[in-house]
Amino acid sequence: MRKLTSSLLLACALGAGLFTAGCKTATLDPAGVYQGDYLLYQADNVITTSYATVHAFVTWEWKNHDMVKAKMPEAMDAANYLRRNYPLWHQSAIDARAVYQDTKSSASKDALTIALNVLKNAIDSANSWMAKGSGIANPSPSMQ
Amino acid sequence: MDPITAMNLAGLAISMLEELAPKIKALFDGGQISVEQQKAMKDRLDALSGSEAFSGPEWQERN
Repeated sequence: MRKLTSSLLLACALGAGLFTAGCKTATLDPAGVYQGDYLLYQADNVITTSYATVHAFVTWEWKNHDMVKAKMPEAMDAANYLRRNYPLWHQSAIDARAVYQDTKSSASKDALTIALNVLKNAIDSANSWMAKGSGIANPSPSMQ
Repeated sequence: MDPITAMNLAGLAISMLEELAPKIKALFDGGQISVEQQKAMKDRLDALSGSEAFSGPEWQERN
């Protein structure tokens, strides 16, 4: 079992590495809806991935609330923090995306990048808590 | 690491790989993200733009 887990985590790390590399080297077919604008594609990727990840975390906490509250109250606090703030961050990123799409200005590009970094931090936080909480309640991938 | 934790972590790893699979495929396809993949991404975003995204009970604070 330990070997299997190690292999899967290694594969995951490899996948993450490839994804990182992909962020630098992948290109868009210019005939697509993004018309070659990789930042727009990346924005949509971060927005949708962060929603899926944060949603999985708050759903996990909601389904296992009593156990999480008793055994890992910090995870409950983290879930409530994301419940309060993530919808605002999500909308901010969508708004910043719209401004960037309309203007393509340097300022709007910077604002979108900042908004996406906030969402990336939310992904890290949700993933971290689900990993920590996996010992007390199963974070089923089907919740996403 | 106990077996249950190991299995849960494995499930998480598989879930993350499923998210990454289209991007990895794009790399092996020559690094270009196809028209279809772009449309799928945009559709995913559009599906989140409605008011339903945060309406579920899992989004309500609990103490």
